[in-house]
Amino acid sequence: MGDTRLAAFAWEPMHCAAYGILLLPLLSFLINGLWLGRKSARASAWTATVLMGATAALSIIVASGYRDHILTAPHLFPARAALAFEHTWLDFSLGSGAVLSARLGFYLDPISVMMVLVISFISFLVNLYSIGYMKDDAGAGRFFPLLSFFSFTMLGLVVSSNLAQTFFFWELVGAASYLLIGFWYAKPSAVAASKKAFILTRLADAFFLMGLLAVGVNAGSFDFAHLNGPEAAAALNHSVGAGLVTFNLLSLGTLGIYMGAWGKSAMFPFHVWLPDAMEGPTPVSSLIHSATMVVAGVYLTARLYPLFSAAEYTLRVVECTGAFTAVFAAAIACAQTDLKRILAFSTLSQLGLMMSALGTGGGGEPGAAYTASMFHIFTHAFFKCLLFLSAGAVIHAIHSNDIREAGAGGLRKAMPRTYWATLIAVAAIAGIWPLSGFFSKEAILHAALANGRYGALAAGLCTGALTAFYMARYFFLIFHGSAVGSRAPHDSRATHAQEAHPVREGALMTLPILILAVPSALIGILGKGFFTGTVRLWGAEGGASAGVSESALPMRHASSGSWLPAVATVLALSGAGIAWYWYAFRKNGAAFPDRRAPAWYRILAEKFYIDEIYLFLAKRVASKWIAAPAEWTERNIVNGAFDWMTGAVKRLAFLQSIAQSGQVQAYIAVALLGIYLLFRFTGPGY
Amino acid sequence: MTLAEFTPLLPDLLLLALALAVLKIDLWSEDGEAGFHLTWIGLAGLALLLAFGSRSDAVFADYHITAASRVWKLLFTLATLATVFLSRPYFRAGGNARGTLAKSGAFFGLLLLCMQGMFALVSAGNLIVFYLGLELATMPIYALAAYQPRDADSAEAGSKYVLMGGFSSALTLFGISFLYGATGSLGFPALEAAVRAAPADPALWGGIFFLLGGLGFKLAMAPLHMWAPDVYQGAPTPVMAFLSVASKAAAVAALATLFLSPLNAVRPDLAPCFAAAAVLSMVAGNLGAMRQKDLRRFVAYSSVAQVGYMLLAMLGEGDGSRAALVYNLVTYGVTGFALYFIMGVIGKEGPETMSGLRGLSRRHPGLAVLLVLCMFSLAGVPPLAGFLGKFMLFSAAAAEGHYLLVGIAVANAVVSFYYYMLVVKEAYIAPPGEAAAIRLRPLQIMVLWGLGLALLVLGVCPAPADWLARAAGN
Amino acid sequence: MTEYIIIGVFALVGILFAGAAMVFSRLAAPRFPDVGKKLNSYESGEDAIGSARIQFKIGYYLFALVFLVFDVEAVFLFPVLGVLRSAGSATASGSILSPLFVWCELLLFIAILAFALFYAWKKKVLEWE
Repeated sequence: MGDTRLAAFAWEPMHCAAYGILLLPLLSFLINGLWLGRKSARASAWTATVLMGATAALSIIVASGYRDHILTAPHLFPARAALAFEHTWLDFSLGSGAVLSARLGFYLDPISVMMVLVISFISFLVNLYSIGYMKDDAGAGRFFPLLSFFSFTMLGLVVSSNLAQTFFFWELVGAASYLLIGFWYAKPSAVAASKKAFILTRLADAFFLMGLLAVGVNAGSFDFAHLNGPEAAAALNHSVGAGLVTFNLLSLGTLGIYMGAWGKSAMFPFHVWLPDAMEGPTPVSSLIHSATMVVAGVYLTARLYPLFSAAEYTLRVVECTGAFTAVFAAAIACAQTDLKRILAFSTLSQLGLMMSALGTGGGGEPGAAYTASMFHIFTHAFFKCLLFLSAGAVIHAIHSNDIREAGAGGLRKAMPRTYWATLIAVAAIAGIWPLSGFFSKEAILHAALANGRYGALAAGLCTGALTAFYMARYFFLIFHGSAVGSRAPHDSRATHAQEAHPVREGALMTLPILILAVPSALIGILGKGFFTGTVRLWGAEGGASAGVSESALPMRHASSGSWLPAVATVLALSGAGIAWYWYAFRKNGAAFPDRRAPAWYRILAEKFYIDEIYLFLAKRVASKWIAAPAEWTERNIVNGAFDWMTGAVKRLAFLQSIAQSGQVQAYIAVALLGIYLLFRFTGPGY
Repeated sequence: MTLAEFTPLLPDLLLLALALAVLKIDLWSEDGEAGFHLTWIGLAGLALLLAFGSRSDAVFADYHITAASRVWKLLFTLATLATVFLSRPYFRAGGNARGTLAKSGAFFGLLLLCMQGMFALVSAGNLIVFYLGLELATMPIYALAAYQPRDADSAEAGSKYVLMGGFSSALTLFGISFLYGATGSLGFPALEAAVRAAPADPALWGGIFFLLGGLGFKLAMAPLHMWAPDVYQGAPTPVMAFLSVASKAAAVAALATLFLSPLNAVRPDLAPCFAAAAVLSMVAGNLGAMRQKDLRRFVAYSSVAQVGYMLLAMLGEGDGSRAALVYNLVTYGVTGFALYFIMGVIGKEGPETMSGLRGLSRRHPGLAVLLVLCMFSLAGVPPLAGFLGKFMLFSAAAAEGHYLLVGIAVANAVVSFYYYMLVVKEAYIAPPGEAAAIRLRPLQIMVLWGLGLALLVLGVCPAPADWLARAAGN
Repeated sequence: MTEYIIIGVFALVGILFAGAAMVFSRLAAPRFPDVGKKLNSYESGEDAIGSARIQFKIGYYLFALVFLVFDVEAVFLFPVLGVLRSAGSATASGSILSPLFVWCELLLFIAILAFALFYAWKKKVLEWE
């Protein structure tokens, strides 16, 4: 298999920091879980937060060490990758002396360093936020250790140097999310949601495990450094027969691995678990949606990108699932009334964008596709986390998830900081210049164009317009809605809450929101250079790409797609404009089911013919023909299919129980028949 | 011929002496305390002796002491030791809601004699010794399965096990006679040579399939598994634990002893058979477990499914397979015993059923967490012991190119995950009334912590089991 | 081939003989349609009482088992003694079997058996209650 192991990198501070990044969250989990959490929830919350903050600081050390010692030494690290440490964990004998090693390592390359920074930083903020959010929860002592564990698993996943370690942490991420989604285990819906999430992702992981074994065993190694090299793809690129059916091992293996990503990143039709996962506390949702769990799938696909890009068929699957999910989820989001559900579907849609961006890489510009996707993961983490945290603040204030009740609360004046933070996040996700989302979305569209994947390009543009629409709707309904058409004030808990205890934005909860608003706004401009210059794979023809500035390596084909940002912006603005016109300016209230609109609204609606068109387009066409069928499919076909599957297994189980009669003579008869059949069909005579 | 030459045989002789001593003490001490202490101290000593004692191999006519046999013996000893601890409260008045067991001396004596049979089984160098070991490892369980006094289910379990056991003994003996007819020898070396010389002999194949039938019964491999749910359910819980871990380990060891050495030459031709049996076992076990409300029955089906996974290793290449088998048995044993100890705790006040688990999270949060760990481990979630065990089995089969089979196994693992989660759910459902908190004895707490840590350690740091597996692979 | 023909003839004659006896007795015997005792099971001339499905005393089985152990073991002890004499001379094969070893083994075996008898005796298996 050749020596494909990466050079270990030994700069002592970085070495220690790398250990610390994995050990501190684990330590926090152990201390709080075994001891402190039971003594004092408050102390455990602060311990977890401080340790997470330390982890974030260590990740900065690692990142700066990476920048100063590895990026500047391309002769030592031509792939810009190195190992901070690696320990052999287990050797699998493959027979005839070959051994497959599973190792525990800390892999450094642009995307893993980027993810470590993002995860530790966001985990820290979420921890800080949770101190305020979980203050009155009886289970807070249990919450913080689990949160630390969740961060630990995700950190372990992104730094893994080989597929075995990835799978190990991958499953741990699933288990941690199971525990957190079902955190309020007294609530049956939370238990059901956590079970659904866990079982569905495990189902997908089954394919991952198969793919992993097929790839690892045949390529002779689990190491990414080996798998991403040319010889691994060549070794895998042959057909294997299974009876009458033959597969290309490369396609089969990568597809299996992608299935794992498919489930984890909740691509259609595995997406059904994600909206339900909202049953967990809001900080958990924010963590799941921004930096952990769901991005793991995209990250895995990116991690094995060179191998994937050798498998044309798999890339097509990646592209199609991604593009379809992007549009599909965006359409559903337009018709939701639950705050967190809107955000959940928006995550689905954004993840779809990232996946489809990776999938477009087959068209000759894989570097651009890869870069764009990673860039979007990066920016999305910040603004999505910000959205969730501010949504959490709103929910905390009005004690309701319903967007219509939020509209009744006059929250704009009561919560100015949350208001502005949400505005920034909404503009960022909608892709408004100069906020972060604009740059990463543009990169995705460029990649699709440069690779000639016009279907993905169209899907991206369409998703952009829909995103701007539903996010603007979300924003205007919460902060610019009016009590008109909502419930009567006296039975609204929102109003009650406001009257009894004026809504206050607790400092501990507002601080992370304010901190996150900064990167959500600026990280696009700041990060662009890093992504186009450093992150790119294959950008290194000539070998001197490491560390070069943005100007030296402009985004390719930028000239041919100079109209793209303009088109995207126009689409986004018009989507947001429609929402503004409809939900803020006209206060039409399509989201209000009882439709008790004031008299002046009726007059206006009759006066402007354009309203009718909007109504028809938005309500009749968009809602009825796109959003409603999408939701219907979602509710009946996809969920129904999963229900049917579990039902079918149960029915089979019933059939089996009939044979189990309890009579020994029947058992012996079955045994004899079984042995005979085994002999008859699998014996030497066949 | 000096006495020193007998040192490799020491564990086997010591076990015999221990069994006789326990039975002897039973004649005088009525309360069984002395017997219990002698048994566990003796077994612990035996385990130490096997782990750190003489490492030299020896051949005593048809009784072979090898490194692999020592590892198997260590496994049996540890499993029996855990069974002895598990059975302790069942002999105390009020220790179990189903009724108190009596005659602990004979109980431990029977366990030890059963172990003696297992020892002979893995040291066999001859089909007759093999058969005698198999019988001795089975017969005491006939009595043990019916050990619950005045309990119709237990009596049913005993009689069913006798009937099925007799049937399978007949099959085994028939198979051995065929093998003898085909090869003209009973000793393993001669058998191996004969099989290599004429691997297509129909009589040989007849013998192999009859033997497989006999061993399959002991293993609870589908389609010979149907006795398992009834016997597991009826037998007292410690006996069920012994059946599902020690006895199963013995059957796996028997399979490995026969098919990885003297019959190794025909193993590639047997691949379809093992594959079919593996798939059948996984499917039958998983489908059966799904609807169970009784925990002992649930364990039975789940262990049938585990047998299916273990059979995957028989498709792999020799050393790796043996290592995967041993490793998987260790992890399965640790997980199983953690679950059985929990069953023992809840069995003190109520029936050992799914609904008996209700409210466990409220009554003793630590136990509920351990139960979650057990279920995750059985389902193969990292970083728990079960994950590595499954991973090794799957990779053993994948390394030989059986992707379809691995696919089926993985799909089954997902299905099994569903019903393991059902168990977890029960533990976290609060019962309507106020449930009393569970109080554990210090010894129980120690054992439970030990098993819980082992679950984690074996999953994260495989060194101990790895050492076992390597030793067995040589 | 001729051996098989002889066997075949024997089989044929056997079947014919048995069959003829049955057919003949059926033809020759007087037939009285069933009444009374004819349907009772034959219990060595005694009148049958009650159902055949009754519970036997467990002591019968214990006795049978103990008898089986010692009877069968005693039967096998004779050939073992015969082999014991030749075991000493069989060391030429290089095996570890020495006469002393075999003798010890046999002694151990008998000791275990004796212990079993002793155990059964102390556990009052040999007493009829």
